[in-house]
Amino acid sequence: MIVASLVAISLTVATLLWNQKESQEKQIRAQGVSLTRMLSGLPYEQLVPSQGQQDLLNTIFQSQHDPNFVYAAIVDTQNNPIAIASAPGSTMPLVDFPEKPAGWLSDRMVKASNGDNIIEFYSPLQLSEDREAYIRLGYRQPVMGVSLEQVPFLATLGLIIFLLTPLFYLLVRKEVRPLREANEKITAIIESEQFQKVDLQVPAELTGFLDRFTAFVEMAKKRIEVLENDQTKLVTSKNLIIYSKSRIEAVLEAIPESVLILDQSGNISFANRNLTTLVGVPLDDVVNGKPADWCVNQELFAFISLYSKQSAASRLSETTRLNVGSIKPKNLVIKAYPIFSTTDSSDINGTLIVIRDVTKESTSQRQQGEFVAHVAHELKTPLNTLGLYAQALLDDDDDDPKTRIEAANIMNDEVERLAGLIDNLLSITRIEMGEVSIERQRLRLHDFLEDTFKVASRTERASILTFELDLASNLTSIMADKNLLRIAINNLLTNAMKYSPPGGLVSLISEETEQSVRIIVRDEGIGISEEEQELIFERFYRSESAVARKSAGHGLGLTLARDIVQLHYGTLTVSSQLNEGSEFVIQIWKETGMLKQVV
Amino acid sequence: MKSILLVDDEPMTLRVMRQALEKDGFQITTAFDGKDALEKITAKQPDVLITDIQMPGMNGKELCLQIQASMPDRLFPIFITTSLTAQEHRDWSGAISNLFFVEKPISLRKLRSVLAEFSLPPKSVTGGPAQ
Repeated sequence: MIVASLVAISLTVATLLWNQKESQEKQIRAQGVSLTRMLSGLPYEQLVPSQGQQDLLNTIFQSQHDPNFVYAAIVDTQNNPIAIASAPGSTMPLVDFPEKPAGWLSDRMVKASNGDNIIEFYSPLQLSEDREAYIRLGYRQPVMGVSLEQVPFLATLGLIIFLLTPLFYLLVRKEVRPLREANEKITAIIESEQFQKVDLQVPAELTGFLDRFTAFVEMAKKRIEVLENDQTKLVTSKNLIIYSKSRIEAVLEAIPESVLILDQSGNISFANRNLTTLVGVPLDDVVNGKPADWCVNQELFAFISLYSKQSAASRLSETTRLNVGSIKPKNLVIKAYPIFSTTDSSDINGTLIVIRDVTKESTSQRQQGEFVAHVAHELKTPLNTLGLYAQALLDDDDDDPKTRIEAANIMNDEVERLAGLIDNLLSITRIEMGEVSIERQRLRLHDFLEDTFKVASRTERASILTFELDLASNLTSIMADKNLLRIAINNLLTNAMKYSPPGGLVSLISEETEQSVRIIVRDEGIGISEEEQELIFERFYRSESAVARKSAGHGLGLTLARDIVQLHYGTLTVSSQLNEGSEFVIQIWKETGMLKQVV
Repeated sequence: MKSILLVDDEPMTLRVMRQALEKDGFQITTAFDGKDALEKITAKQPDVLITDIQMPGMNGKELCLQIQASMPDRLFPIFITTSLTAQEHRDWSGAISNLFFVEKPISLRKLRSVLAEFSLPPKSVTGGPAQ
């Protein structure tokens, strides 16, 4: 504040002094001009007196009382002074006129010998024709400076300013305070990040401004509220849309078919996971790429391309059947549906392409056909033998008793075989139709397994194999349908024997834990490849392997066995190594284990 | 004496047919599957081949196709015993000459009458498939 006061004082004093100097200079010029004009008008004889006459120049010089008036002189054309009056201690600088002195009054700046700046006024005198002279008047140019008599005045002025500055400052502060407070409050509000009303006590002059300011803020606040409302609505509807979109997508994901959606321009806008699995390409590539980049199958590509075109989009396609893939051939049924707008049925939003993999169904159909053929063969084979022997008996002219006995025995065997085959067929059909009611009875597992094993190992095939029976003598009893379980275990043992090489070992082993019993049928036969392990339990499935095909079968034995085990709430699993053998495990829960499973 | 090669995976069928046909004065050889039969044919061609169609390993159809491929100038007739009708084998059998179907259960009387046509030295046969 002191600095501010001093600056104010200095500026004020400087301005005063400058002003004073200016007015002095102005005064000098006015005075100089009028005096020069007056003197140049006087006759030369008056200005340059002869002896004894009064020196007019000196008189005028004395009468001026001007401290800045330095000299007054009459000079000839060579600038030699003819008459001169000057202040004591001052001399007239011997400065030549400009080459052609002006014919009228003029002024110029000259430098005095003591270094002062002199404002000189000069003018030619009115003379007779043969004489020429000039008048020169010199005034010291005023400089900025403080004279002694001015000091008290300036000091007083300085003091007043010095005292006024803080007063002024305090007054301004007082006036500005409400603004500062308002500013602080607004800053606090901004820092708190909570929008609230600005409540201020302000002097009357500011009330209007602050009222309008508050009103403006209120308006902004309302506008923000409206925007926030809109934003909330927008977010809500966006969430709703996302929700319904995800629900629709979830539905499209859940359906077992492969789905592809083309938009109006024929670009793929959606594909479900089934489709990516089907074509073996990541979802991103399908949705963001072009079908040409990922669709390997030509027919499928042709179909998609056709429906990418606007002209085809409105048509419901024919159901098209495709066979794709060479390694794992697939039968596909593909159909395109136009997607009509829900509001305007003439407006089409795109195309829905649904691809159904009917490989399994086709396989099942084919297998069923094969099965029927196989059953016919299986039925006709014993019939054929029966017929041949019957004819042989009829033709037997020799009436050889040996031939008759052999024929009768074979015919009996064939009838039994036929009956067994029909029984098996009926069992599986009934189980698969869900018509079998299971007759549970307490079964002493040890005796039951031993008995089943003995029956199986008495067959003709068994004579070239070795057997191992490993049953705990204190094996538990379970509740089971004896006849059904016998069929299941017999089928496993028959398979084990059928696919074992001569001399191969066939084992029937029991294992008991606290909760379950495991019945294991193990062989050292041809084994089952990993791919086929998934398939062997399927109805009608017969191994593709040439070795397995050597043995007669109808593709029902394992299906029946698993059906039966499942009727007992058990599991039938297989582990096998090609050319090393197979192990089939029936696991049946004991009552305690069953309870635990339920809990 | 005419020779017949009997191919069937059922030992009982082979046995009773061998008995019946030997009585008729044929010389009988037997094979249990297609591969076995093919080996025997390659060693010595029979005058007649009678084969079952459904057999493990190489079945009757494959046997016929292999014979057709390896000996296109074959003269001996082939009789196929089948549970199905000739109609259902038309697809693959059309290209094979001198091929006849005998439906199961086999009638020995019918078989004998067909074979009688071949009791003379083998010749080209123009008749359609036997029923």
